[in-house]
Amino acid sequence: MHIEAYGVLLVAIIIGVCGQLLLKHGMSRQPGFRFGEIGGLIRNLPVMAGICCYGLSTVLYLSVLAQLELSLAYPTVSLGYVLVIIMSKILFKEPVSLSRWMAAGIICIGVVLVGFGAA
Amino acid sequence: MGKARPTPDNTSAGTADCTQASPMSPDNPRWTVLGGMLFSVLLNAAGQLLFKAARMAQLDASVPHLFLHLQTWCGLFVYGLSAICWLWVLARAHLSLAYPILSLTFPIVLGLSALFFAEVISPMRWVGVGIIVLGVSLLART
Repeated sequence: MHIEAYGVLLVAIIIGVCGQLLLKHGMSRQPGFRFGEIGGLIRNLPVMAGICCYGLSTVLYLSVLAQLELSLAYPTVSLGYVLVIIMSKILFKEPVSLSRWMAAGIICIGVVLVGFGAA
Repeated sequence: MGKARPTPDNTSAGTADCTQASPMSPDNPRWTVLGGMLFSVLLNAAGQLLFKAARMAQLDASVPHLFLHLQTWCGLFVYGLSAICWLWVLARAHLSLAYPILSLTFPIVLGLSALFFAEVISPMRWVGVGIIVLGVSLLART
């Protein structure tokens, strides 16, 4: 077991979720965004911060790939979905239905199976 | 969905959801957005494989040393492309629809891990990934 690697993976996931929330926050200001406007994103602070979070999350993720199998590490990242649901409700007041919470639970079950499914 | 133009491809639930979320202009049909999502998925999987390859090539290297390796930079480049593509998608679709589509990356990466890195994927792991995709798909339908 690589407890430390799992811890770093978890931190990478949390920072990735922060990035996702920042990107959504930033892009919701720019509906109908086109590639031609990509230069303008530099002035979009949340988007820039989101990209930084993505970068940091990626570096942390890279650091654990030596210890963990790709087929374990990558599916575990889906815990991010569950966190995104929780945070979308809290921060963006997005409506989260019962079936969406059930979906979150199902994802967690899947991650547990992946974790215990070492060959 | 009410705003969607009555074209035949509106019948598919997935594509109809796209229009609901976004101010689509006529030159940006739904399949373009779905195509953008799938392109993101493929770039993402490629990035994962490049990262793992970079890490496997130098197991003992510290993280800064990884950046001396070409595969790391290729992985980052592909990942960056994927992120740009993703931004384009996010401006047009709800996060709660777009994110699940991204989950197709999981089984793709699992298969490619077995193929390229000789990882042995137990049946339980396949089932786990299947359940994850199921859960993520349930998100898209609600």
